Amino acid sequence: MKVTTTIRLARSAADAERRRTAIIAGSIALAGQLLLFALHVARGSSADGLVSYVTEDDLQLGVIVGALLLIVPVLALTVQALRTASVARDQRLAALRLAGATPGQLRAIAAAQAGWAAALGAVLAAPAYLVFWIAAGVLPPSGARLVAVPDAADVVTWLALIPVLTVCGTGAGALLRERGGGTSARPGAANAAALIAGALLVVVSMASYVDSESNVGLLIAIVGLLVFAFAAGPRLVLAAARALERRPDTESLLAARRLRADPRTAGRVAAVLMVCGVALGFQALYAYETLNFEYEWAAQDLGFYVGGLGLSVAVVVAGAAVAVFSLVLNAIEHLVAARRPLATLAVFGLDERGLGRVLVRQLLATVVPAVALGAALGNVVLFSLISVAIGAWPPADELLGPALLGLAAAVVAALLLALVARLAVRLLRPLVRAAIAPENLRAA
Amino acid sequence: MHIRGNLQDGWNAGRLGRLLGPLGYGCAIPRAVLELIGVEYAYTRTPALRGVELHVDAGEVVAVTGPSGCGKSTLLHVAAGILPAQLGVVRLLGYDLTALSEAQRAALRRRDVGVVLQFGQLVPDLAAVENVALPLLLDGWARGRALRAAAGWLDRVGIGQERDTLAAELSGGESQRVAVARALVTEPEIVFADEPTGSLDQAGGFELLELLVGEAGEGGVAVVIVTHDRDVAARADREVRLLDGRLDMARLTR
Repeated sequence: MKVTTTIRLARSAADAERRRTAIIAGSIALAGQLLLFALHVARGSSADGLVSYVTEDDLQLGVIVGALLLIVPVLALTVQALRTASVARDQRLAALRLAGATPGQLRAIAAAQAGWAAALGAVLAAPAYLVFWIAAGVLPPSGARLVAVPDAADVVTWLALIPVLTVCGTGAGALLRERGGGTSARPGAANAAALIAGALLVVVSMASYVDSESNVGLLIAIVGLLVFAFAAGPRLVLAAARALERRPDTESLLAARRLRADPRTAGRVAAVLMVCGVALGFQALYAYETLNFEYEWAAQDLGFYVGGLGLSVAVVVAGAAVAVFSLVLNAIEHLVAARRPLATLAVFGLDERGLGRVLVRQLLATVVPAVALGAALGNVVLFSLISVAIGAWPPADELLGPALLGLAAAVVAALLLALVARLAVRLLRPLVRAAIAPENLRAA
Repeated sequence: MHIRGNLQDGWNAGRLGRLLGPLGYGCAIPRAVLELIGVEYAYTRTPALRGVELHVDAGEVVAVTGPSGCGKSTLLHVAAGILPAQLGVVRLLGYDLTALSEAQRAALRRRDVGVVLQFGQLVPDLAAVENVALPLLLDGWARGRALRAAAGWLDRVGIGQERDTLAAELSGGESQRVAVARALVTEPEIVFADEPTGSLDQAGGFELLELLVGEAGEGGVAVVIVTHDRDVAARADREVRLLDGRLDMARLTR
């Protein structure tokens, strides 16, 4: 098959396919923009008007790590987007198979579809970076700017990123086509090993970090935390599903079974939210220490610390928002793909509101335990770190304040996420209505 | 609620009728469980049903046949109250469906009507027994009681050993048996089946049909089967034929 034919067959006029392309391109553009920013900060800048976090050597690492961590939920979103529109795409590829396309040709077409979206996203990374520069490098007052004026090196970096991101996107598209959309596999021995390895990495590296001048221990701890969270995510979702199953109502049973049927997709989101929760636990302690009135901060110092806190909270909120969007995207995909069984439920009286309740329970069971567990872990890990540093567990009166603040932050975050989940389901109402429409009973 | 009370009365009347039937009461005057009078339905601008008249008695097996696109499935969906008739009257188990809300129609379907569709249309994430129990669970039954009743029906349709298998892992024939059990678990007065054997081979299809008609017959349940299969139609008491949304012919087959 010629390349031109592959490209022609990869292009689809279907709305679902266009939406998929737009979301993949958008997420790749966001990832590219964050990479451009991280690499720009890593190169160093002494431009006037920039905030000290991006100009001082000791502080740059935190900004770079924050930007790179934010790429994790964006990549999870890309993977989710690659899995969407599976019904329309499978029908199309089945038609091509009937017309004589070989498995290799079908793989090439799937790869071209993902590659085209990834290339589009990679190209759009530059405009996205310019928008980010205007928002964080032009509009804020001098001294509070985060992004320096883009330079030639940024252009070179961007040009280098285009083929890299395109190849990654193409490979991911082909791989997911090969493995199919199913993610029902239960966490096995490899997952357990990753869980233990991640936890050990966090404990050992944080313990060594306390006595070290280097930041390497901190970076290893972050990697360990990511490994732990992504291994724990599906397990946490399955545990939440089991708890839901024990509730007497049918909506909870349906929500639980959906989560058990595909724990990995929700598990990825739970992992990101768990990391957000850990950050929240850290931030609560940091805020408590910063705003503790026993210290007499100069106004400038207070601005520095509060600004840093605000920036890190913004990263957490952005990460959580991307993760929840990914979860909603998964819910939409299910509504479209399972419209026939959903319509059958309607025959037996599960109406739009009932299905909405199923979706809300599904979303809540994924997001709330993940944030709560993450926040608790954040507090425990940080307290342990402090106890190692001072050689003893902090006195109870010093623990209470940060712990309460951490708890309050986790509760507020969980409530906000619950609100977002309910809002998302409300916005999805037309799709819910379409999913249970009687005409779906006749869908092939 | 008023309508809930009415539905409950209808349900009891049906049960009473079934109880008295073997004693000779009510046998002389067959009770109509379904009446369609001048029913019309159109999709956007395409008419699917044009003035259809149909009458089904308790315990009767009626096959609705006709070429593809003639409106068979639409007829079944309108008769079961899944789609609302745009014109005419649909009287199901004594209730005028046009006067009921969607929620009331759903409640009626859940308690007194069984539905079997071409591919089973089971919920893939649920086990076979949970799929069968679904109408009971949605009707507010305690889970343990609903699952026990469902398990009993799975045994009756011959796949009790698959009770904990996920619907997604069942074969086509097994899925259809689960669908039959789900249709009968509420002990309905009428079952609507839309091409129930359409996804099965001839032997499997015939076996399923015998199961459906046999189990329904034992309980005096009326069955309306939409089919394009002549052999399936021959198994019914009566065949009605649709052509371009109109009733073209009706004849006794047995």
